[in-house]
Amino acid sequence: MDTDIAVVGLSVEVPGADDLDTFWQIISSGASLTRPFPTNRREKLAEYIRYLRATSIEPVTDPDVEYHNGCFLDEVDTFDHTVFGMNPRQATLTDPHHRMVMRAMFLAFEDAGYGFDRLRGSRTGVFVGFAVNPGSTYLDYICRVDPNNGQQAITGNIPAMLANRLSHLLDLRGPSLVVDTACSATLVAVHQAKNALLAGDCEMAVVGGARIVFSPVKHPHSNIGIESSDGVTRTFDEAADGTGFGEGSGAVVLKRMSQAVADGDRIYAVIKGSAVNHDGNTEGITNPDSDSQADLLDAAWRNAGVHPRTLGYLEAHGTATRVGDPIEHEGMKRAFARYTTDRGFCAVGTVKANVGHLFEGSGVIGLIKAIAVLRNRMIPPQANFKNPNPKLDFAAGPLYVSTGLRPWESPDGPRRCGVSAFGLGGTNAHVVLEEYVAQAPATPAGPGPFLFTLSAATLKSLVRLGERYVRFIDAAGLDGVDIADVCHTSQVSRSGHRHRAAFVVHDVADLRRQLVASLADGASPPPDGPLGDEARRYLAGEPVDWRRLSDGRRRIVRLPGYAFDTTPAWVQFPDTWRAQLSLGTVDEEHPVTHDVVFAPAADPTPATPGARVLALVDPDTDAGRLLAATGLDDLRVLRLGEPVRPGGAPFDARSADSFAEIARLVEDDGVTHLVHALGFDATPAADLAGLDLRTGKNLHSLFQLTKALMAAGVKLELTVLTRRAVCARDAEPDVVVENGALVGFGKVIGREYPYLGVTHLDVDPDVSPDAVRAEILSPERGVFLWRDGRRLHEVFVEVPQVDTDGPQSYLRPGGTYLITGGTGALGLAVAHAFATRQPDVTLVLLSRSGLPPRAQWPDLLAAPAGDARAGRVRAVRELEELGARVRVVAADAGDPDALAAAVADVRGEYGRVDGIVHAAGLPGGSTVMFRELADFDAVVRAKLHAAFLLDQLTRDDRPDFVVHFSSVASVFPAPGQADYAAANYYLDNVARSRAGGPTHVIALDWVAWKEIGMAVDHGTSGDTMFRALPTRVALDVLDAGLRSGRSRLFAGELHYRGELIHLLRSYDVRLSAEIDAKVDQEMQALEQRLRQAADKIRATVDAVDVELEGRPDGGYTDVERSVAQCLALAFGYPTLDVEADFFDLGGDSIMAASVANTIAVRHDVQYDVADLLADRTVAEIAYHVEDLVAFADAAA
Amino acid sequence: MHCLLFPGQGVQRRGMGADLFGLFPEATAMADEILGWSIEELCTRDPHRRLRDTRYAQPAVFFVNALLAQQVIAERPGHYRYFAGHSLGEYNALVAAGVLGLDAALRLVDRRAELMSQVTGGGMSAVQGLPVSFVRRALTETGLPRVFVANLNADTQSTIAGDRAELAVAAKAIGALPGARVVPLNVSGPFHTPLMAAAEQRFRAVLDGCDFAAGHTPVVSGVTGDVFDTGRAAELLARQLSTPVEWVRAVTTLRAAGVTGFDEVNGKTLSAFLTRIAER
Repeated sequence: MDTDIAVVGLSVEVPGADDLDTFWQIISSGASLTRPFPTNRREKLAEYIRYLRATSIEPVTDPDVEYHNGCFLDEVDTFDHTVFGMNPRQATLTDPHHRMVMRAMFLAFEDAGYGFDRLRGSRTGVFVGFAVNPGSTYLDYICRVDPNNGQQAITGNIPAMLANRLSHLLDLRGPSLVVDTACSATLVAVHQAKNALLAGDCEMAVVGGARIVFSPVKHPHSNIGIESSDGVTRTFDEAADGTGFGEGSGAVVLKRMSQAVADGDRIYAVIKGSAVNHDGNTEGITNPDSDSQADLLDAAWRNAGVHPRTLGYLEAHGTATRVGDPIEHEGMKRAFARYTTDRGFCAVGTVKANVGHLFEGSGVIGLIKAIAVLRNRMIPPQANFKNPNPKLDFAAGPLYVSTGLRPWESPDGPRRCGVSAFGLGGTNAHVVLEEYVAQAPATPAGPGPFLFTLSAATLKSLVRLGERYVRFIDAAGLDGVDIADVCHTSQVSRSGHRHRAAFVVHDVADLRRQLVASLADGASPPPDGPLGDEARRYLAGEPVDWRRLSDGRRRIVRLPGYAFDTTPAWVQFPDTWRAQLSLGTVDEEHPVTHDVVFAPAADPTPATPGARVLALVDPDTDAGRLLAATGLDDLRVLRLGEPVRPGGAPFDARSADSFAEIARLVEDDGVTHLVHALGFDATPAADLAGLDLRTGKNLHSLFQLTKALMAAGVKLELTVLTRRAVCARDAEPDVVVENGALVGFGKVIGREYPYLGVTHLDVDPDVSPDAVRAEILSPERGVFLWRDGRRLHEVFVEVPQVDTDGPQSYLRPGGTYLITGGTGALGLAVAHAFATRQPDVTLVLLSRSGLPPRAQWPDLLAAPAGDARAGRVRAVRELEELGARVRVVAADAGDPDALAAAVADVRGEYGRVDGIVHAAGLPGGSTVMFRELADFDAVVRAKLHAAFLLDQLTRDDRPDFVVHFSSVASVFPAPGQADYAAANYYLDNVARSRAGGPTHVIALDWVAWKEIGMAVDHGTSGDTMFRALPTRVALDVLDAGLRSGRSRLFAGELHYRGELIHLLRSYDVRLSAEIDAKVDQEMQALEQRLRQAADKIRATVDAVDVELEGRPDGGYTDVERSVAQCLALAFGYPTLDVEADFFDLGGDSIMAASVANTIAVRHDVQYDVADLLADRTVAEIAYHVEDLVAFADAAA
Repeated sequence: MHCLLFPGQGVQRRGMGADLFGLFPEATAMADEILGWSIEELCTRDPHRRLRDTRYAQPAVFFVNALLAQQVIAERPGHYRYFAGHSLGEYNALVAAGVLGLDAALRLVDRRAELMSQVTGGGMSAVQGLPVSFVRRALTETGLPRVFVANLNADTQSTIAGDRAELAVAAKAIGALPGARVVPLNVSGPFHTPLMAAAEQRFRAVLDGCDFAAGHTPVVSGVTGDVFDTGRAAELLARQLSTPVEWVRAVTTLRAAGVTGFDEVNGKTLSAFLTRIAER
């Protein structure tokens, strides 16, 4: 099989050269491009470097910034975004390397005779050699300017996109990949591309790379040890002390030789063979190895099938380091010695001495130099070479260093050469090249005329391109070239852009004449005739089948490359960074634990007169008598069993119809104050049946009443009146704890429907009727208690330190501990904490779902991941590995019979239950208005009834402790949590009432756990008013709580820096003075931050310069202009069409959010992503925004 | 049992019905004749940006609805046992049910659009996330006399309409309620409110000169929420301008009548409402 690979196109750009001819001038003259870092680039970086130094953890105080010398490009901050289908903003956020690679490959394709049309859908591979280098990356830089850039910039800055963007843009279907082998990367990529071509992975391949030095600051810490002291590369010279930085890009287009010949391609050179190897285990990973390099050359020669004696030139890696050069020289010598003892027949040199070291890009630059040497048949002088390095004994070997430009004679066969590139870390590559000698003479074309085409993405580029052709012709660029080939090449490789010109020409002189005429006077219409028709079709943008115009024997010839229309594409570092930087603020630490205490409150605020009061009363309680004694003027007392309206159905606490009737009555009679006093029971429920009656009569009635009032859209003040339902202090006697659930419920009503103003009034038997009257009429909302004639109110306080003055070892060796919700994430975490603390325990994990029988565990664990049961089984196994005995019981904590049976079973087997963690629970569902009683009740039962029953079941043999898992919802509930809040308030209440008893009962009010649990399952585990609780912190609170004597802890750290902290004040719970002060301070700070952010956005938008276009009369509204500024800020266009679509401009759904936010802030209206995605054009957005502004003005 | 639903103003989009007009050349010619301008040009290209204007939007939506319905019904004759439409869409339901001819209905719609577009200075806003009882209470509390609930579209979705300035105040108050989102709608008038009384009077005169057939298929009315009484057609269609669209009740009535399958022409607006109307 023929394994020759043809190089059919190339591009090269280094400082001072942008094509093969100018590149050869540098090489053939032995020029060295080293110079100081250009001033304009220094100026652009100065502030950034000052910023980096100032913000480094170890600040660099040296005020001077010194730069390395090197072979630097004049500018790396411009780009022609149009031709690459990008918008200016995208281009600006794209890594310059990325842009240079695209440009280099585009030019190489053009040179090879391939325009966009010809490439589209082809099996072409893209191979890029690239590495992210230490120090600054462009992404790092632009994100320091504005972290918001990161999201939009991602596709322009991750290395994979270097290859993928081009494949995407040109619709190329071959392999598309980035090779990182450090400095050998592009030459390894050539080897990979060659293999891909031979394997049939693709029919054509482009290989290339680019390198810039973002900020070549001299700093001892950043040196990698190969830098030349003065930036000059003196390979093989006595004075060599390292390599100089080089910048530039290069690309080659490769095809199988046979294909290239068949396609009429212009063949620069032939790749005969190549090899890649690694140094293996050398003394150090950065040490090169001459034996490996010798093996590499040998392998490449064998792969190429050439004898090394036939080589006339070697392009060495040659980094000019004291270590590297002798090793490379030694390697070459050893390789040749395996074949010949002849001396001094092969010149050796390296382009690094001319253009510096382009690192990952250096391989392809060396390859292109070797091609230039072959094509010019001249051996160039080695730059910066004065006195040979005495360590290199050239005279004794096959190599010599050329000191002048001299012809390369090769009488015995084609000229051949080799190219080496070695990567830091040990990956080496070598390629063997041969000059191409055309096999068949060119076929002359028929008489003509022919159609010459020219196109560009912008008008400016088109004009420049025309001028470039005239200069090219004047410089003899088309001398001896068949005009038919010129036209053919122009058609297939340069015709596909939007702005077009076409000329029907007879010869080169005719072409020049027409070009000059059209540059001076504009294009003249094509002549009549078939070719003229073709030209017209082409100019109209219609598809043209160029093959019809060709005789099938046309060749690709060399024509001028594309003239880019570049504009600035660089994120400017703001010189105002010092003012914007707020360094040195360290967040204060806030306690994780809190409590709610009842503290004295001022007297109720006086009421406005004219109240009409309706009270719902249970005649079996004292409520009627108390209310009658209040002396309320306009009071109606409705007792259970009495008809709601004369002659109507009797009032039934369990009937939804009764409450619908009451809601109507309220409206009809103009009731302003409603008192729910059904829960005025004097003694707590004695048993489960009693509890059911209580919740049915009191909690369910409040639920139904609320639902009916909401459905009717009623507005009134609602007082929920209870008698000693709330445990006001630890161990308060005679508390009717189950009625405490009404407090939790009441807290939610107003959050769902603010037109019901809810007060919970809990009194002791000594309360004065006057106080009750004042409370009912008072507009104050919240929970108020009357004890011993004093008014108390809830206060949320910090618990900075939990006094661990209780039992230090709360887990008995050999003890039995019951955990409800035990196979849930929290339950298992608790079990794990217990087993870790005291391995010799029996853990009874009770849960609704339980676990499959142990016999099934091995299968479950062997099954592919993802089964939640497997995770639970694994957790149980872990407990057992810790030494604990684990018993999993399936029982629903909300089902009394099941729970009773399970506990009886456990007691039967293990005796006393030594401790209980009641962690079972169901999340709340929806708002009361849309909640069904059965669902409401299920949430309540899993906590409230289960806790009640556990207490009853262990009455005769009290455990050491009971921990109730309560929730933030019992203090600060959200809408939709009425059931959950009610149940959890009960848990808090019961714990407090049991304080000081034989069992340590403690309720822990958890905020969302960060890593596990209900909130994670429901996706609500983020920080809210509180920071989500890491599991470790939560378990520490549990441990501290159990070692304390406390009856209750609220576990959650306030998220003072969050944007939701203001919500804390929206609750009718007083905040302690210290919390209140912190909230106050943080709210002010937040407001200031938001204001500053908004001001910054407005200022940035206002500074955007953009022209609107697209409307014939040129009239645009102010809002259209400001909307255009918002879009231009996102995309960077200097002009925008009022009807241009957001997506056509380069928008995507990711950036839509930030653009919508910019529009909203700039115009001070509510405008979100959905609006933007619907409006999509400047005109439509502006129309919408004007509407919103008018709306806001009207409201103000 | 199946019902075909017709949306009203608001679903218009440039390009709607683009491939329909060619399939119904006679109907399209008739529409151009009645309207005095090209319906196809308006719907497909809208060069003068009129589609958002009530005057043009209503005939456009009605006519595209009607052509789509002809296609859908022809595919499955007898499949639909009920028709219903939201506001303007009710005219399509009456055409599909055989109560009105296409030409007569288009003339009515054209006149209706003209009269409705003459009422300006008003607006509408969609309210999402709140039961209508909460919205009504909020409106009562604001004390604004010229803002009303205009559509009851789903359990927690309604629209309010009224005087433009007052509407803005109301929107702010309602928007402050937990879970609420208030979105201004692109409509010029306070449709379906008492502020349309004058337009209603004038339209009543138009309707009085109109003949309505008994029809072959029942229509459920958005005015009453019950089956459309064709004997009172003129009265109902006149009242429609100034009374709320009782869409939740209409859907509830359809479901109670045994309708289990709903199809919709010209988009999915009403289908989205359906999923938010609980079975009762």
